[in-house]
Amino acid sequence: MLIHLILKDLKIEWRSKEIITSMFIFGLSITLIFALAFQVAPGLIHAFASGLLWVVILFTSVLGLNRLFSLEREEHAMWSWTSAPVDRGTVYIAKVFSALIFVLMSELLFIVPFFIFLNLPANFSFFQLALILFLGTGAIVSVGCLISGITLQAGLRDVLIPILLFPSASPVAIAATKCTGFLFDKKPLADWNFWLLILCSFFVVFGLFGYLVFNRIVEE
Amino acid sequence: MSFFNYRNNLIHAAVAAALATINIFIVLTLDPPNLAQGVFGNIFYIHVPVAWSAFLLYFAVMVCGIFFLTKKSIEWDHRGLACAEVGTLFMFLVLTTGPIWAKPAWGFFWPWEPRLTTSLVLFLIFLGYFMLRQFGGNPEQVSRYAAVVGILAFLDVPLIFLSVKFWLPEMQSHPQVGQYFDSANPLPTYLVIFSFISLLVLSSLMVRFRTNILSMKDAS
Amino acid sequence: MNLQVTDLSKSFYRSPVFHSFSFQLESGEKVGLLGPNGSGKTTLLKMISGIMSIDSGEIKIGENIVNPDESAARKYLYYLGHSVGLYPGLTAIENLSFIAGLYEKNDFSIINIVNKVGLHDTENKLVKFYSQGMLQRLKLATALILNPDILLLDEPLAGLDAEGIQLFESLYTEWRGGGKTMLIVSHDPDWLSSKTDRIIELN
Repeated sequence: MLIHLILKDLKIEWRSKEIITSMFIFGLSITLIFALAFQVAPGLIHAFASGLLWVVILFTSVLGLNRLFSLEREEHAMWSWTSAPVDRGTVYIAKVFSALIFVLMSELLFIVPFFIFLNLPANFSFFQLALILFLGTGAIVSVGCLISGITLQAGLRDVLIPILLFPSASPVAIAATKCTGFLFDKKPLADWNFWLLILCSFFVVFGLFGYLVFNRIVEE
Repeated sequence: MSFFNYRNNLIHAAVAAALATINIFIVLTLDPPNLAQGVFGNIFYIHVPVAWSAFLLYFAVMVCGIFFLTKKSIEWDHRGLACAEVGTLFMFLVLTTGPIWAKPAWGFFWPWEPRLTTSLVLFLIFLGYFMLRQFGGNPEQVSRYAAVVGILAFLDVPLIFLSVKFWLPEMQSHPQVGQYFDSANPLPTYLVIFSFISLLVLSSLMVRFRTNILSMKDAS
Repeated sequence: MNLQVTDLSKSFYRSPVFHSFSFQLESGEKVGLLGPNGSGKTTLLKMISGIMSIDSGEIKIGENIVNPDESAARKYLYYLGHSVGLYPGLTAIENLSFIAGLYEKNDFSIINIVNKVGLHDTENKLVKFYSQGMLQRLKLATALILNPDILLLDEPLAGLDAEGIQLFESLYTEWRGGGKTMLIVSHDPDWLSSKTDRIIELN
């Protein structure tokens, strides 16, 4: 059932490519603004690079989550599964994985321009970067999908998603920035595995919470 | 019948007023725990108990949210909203007294210290909570959404605290707060506990009063 | 499969739409719902199908309670509403396969069903390009695939042309012969009384 639900989102996105494209272009635009804003002190960018990367990811995630859940609102498509004999917690988990796939794919696209425009060296382990991106993005989308579900039928949802998501995801911003900063400074994994644990804990806590309450928030 | 027509509510109000008056007298007249801070040091007797009360109220919002989702009784929604309102007011006091105290104590207005930062993040989440209450749709749906956000906010607290605690190792929790709870001079400890009890009585009165108004509004 | 609604209450913006409302549908019974706009006909169907929450009371399908935490009751019914309930970004066949998968149905031929409802030329077209009548036919196709015990039909003729109405009538005859339990909403009392065993009037 989980795969069935994820494949539905992937199929729609494969056809329209709307979510990944808009996240990629938005990510590029924010990167451009950072490059222009920090150009007066190029040396500073290296110190802030890890934080800037996660600002870009957080902002593009909001866009992606908004679009992913708008698919369910259009023509009340979500009635197909709210009235079906499907565990709604499973629908939430499927949305988390769909969001994770889309955001990770857009990250893969804008991360190279990010490094090029900000003139950042890339002499670190790409496997470790992938791990940080996976866990950090997973943590963001676990709470993001819950918040998007809450605001699915609300007015002002475009505004409510970032207003609720950004403070809730502040531990992710801190932990992911720390991990990335240590990685860019080529520190060993043992120095920053505590922050990976924070990301994992966030992913698990909010993933579990979302699974338990999603059935209550999707009813009209 | 008005809230203050009931004898027990009148007694509650009288006790709250008496304790608050004594509390104000203590704060204005006694020496601060750290004489070097002058009169600003007395903020300690407000800031710490208000912070404890605010966190307790936000914990109550989470409990009310859980009860509302499981028992579906509108009374729990009213209590949750009342606790959120009073808690946010108290948290606003924490965030204003904090910088006023920090400047003479540490030389700058905003220390990114774990407890104060956790307070700020919670405050922002609850501003989003009130926006959701206002713009979230019909009241029946919004009650469910608000319950979930109230639970989400408090689930986030340990993660926020841990992240901030290890984020800036040089900015550990209020070192002076630990010093003030020194067994050699127990007076500050007793005064803070007294202040906390007085605020508990006052905040419980405010919550009961507000819950009563919400129930009456609903009934009409 | 019978349907039992007991002491159902529901409010919107603190105004009650249903207050301690009860009724029962025996297995195989066809009941009509009539009432002015805003009387709660669609709301009732949405609550029975699990799309909308209830404030208090109980809805039972056989022995299964309709409950957000349990999905068992929802496999016995299908709600054919006047909102689309389909993904505009998927084709007709993809929508049908998706919904069939949610109900774990695989004992059908999509092509036969699509032909039966008259969508054989457009089954690979995205649903966002479908007209109102075509969407209604697609929803009828969904009902055929799912073959539920209880059908909740909310103005089933909406958007259908003369051929579409004929299609519905033939499907209705099949369902009636198959002993399906039906709850039908319509604004046409004469049509409704010809299709149902009794009518409940909401006000």
